[in-house]
Amino acid sequence: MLSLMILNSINNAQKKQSINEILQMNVESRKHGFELTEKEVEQMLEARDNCLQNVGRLELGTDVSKSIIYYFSSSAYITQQEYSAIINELHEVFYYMKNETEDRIGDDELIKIMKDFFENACGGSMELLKGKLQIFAEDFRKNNGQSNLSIKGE
Amino acid sequence: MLQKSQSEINVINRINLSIKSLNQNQYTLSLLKQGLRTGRISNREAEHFQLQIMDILKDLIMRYTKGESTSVKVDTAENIINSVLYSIDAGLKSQKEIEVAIEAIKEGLAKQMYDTGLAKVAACFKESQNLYLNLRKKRLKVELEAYDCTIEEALPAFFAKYGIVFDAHNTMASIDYPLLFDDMSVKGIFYIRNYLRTLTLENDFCRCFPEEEIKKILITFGQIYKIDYRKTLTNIFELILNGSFFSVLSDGIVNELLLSSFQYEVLQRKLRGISLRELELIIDKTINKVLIDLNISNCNLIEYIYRYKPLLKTRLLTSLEVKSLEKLVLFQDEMSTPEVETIFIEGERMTNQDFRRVVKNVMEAKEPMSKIGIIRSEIHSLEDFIDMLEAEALFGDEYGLLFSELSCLELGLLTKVIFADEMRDGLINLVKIMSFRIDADVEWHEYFIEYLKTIDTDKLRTIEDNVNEIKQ
Repeated sequence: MLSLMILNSINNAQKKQSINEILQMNVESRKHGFELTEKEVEQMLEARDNCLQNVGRLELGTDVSKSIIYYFSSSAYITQQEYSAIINELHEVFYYMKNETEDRIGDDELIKIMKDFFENACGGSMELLKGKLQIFAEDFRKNNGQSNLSIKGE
Repeated sequence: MLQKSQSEINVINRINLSIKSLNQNQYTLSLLKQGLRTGRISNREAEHFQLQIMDILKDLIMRYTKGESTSVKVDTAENIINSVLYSIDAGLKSQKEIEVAIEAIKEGLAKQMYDTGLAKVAACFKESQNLYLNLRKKRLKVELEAYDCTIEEALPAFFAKYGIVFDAHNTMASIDYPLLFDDMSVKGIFYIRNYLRTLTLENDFCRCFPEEEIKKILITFGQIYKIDYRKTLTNIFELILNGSFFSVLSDGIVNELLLSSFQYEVLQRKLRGISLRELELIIDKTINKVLIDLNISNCNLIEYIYRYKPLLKTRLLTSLEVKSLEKLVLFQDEMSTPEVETIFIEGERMTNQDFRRVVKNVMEAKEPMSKIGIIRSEIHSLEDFIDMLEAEALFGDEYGLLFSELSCLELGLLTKVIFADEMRDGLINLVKIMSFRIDADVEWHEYFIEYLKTIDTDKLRTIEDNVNEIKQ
């Protein structure tokens, strides 16, 4: 556990760099009328770290956050007012789903599935999205056989 | 107060950062910590080095998830980071001096150290595989489950599962067969290599003896201690080394491992009233003769055998002290084993203070035979004997060893204690009871029943007779 504690402290040291990386996503999201302030990004990273801790995962870097912003900033259902809160909630749903689908769906693919449900079947409702994804995860595990991780390294 | 010059401070720092102060199993982290403490490494340098480690981890997480995910479960991440640190440890340890390792950290050479270490881990894995293949070819043909399972199942399973990149630090193997000297402080593949090197040495020694002789000594060992030798965690090398040592010491032939009654007499004569200095000399002389007679020239094996000398000396001293030399040697004919004397019949109960002292001595004794020796010389009543069994001063096989020291009458007394309920209905049929599965709540009851199940029917009948007579 010592090694992980060190990692967390390094992650904190990299906070500034992470904030800048996510702020750069404003260039893309502005095309759809969305923007995050530095404070909002800071809060978002804090919420993400809490969520990672709750679900027992480790994330190094900002790739997932950037992908969530990239895909969801084009949503027809989100307004600038709720944009930051929804992005935070999507992080929570995403990491929960990574565990529920036993790491068998890649990051980008999972975000695309979430976006598709959100835009189509759920009509932009976060509550409906959570319910829909729960059913999806159960079916996914049933169809793929539980606890047979295909992701295996060398 | 005089100010210390910079060179003086450097010297002090160098002294403080000695290799002994570093945790060998967390070498990198320990070096970073000590380096920071002594001022040899600045905060900035340490942070930079750790950031580089994180970059390696990031790459590996991507490799682990085949580029599909940037996050992993915490236990997976911890496993990977430990694997990374294990390789960096190997890289830093391979530097000629501790100072060079510190420079590598200061200069931010984490990736270079990782690559060097990884290459070392890979080479060690390859060497271990070769050692294993040679060992398997030359394995002893013995019916010892732990030996067999370790070579035929545990080690192949380890090689199949081990991953140089993601599992470098893991020793995921159920290696049950005990070595005489095993350095358990080493982890991962470096432990496996050490284990295989040592087992090869032990095997090379054992192969100097005829298979039949090895089989004979194992069977006799089981008979004497009333245990199924095939299921025990016995170190064959130690058994054989002991056998050859005592055979040579008693003027016998080196590869005849079991002693005759005549040889035992010679042994007693030679060791009677011997001084410590003389004992040292006689041990040296005997080990030397064993080596010459077996034509052993492998320096590593010679060194390994000599590591056994202090242990042998302690055992010999203890057995001479408590007059139980016969327990150190194995006889050609089990019947030649001198008759056991009773331990706890008709003796007086000791005071609580004395009892606590005896329990303490038993707990502190390292060798099972020493523990038995203390109990034999100090405990003289059934009550004290049972209190001793309940004092949690004995472990595992030591119980069986102690029970094997008891006479049939004493075994009967203990049987009566355990099967008091069964005896309310009349006489006890111990042979029949032993054929059933019996659950015991008390630890020593469990070991006692296990022991009774190993002894032959004739002896069981004698115990049964004793139990029934005691009832009357």
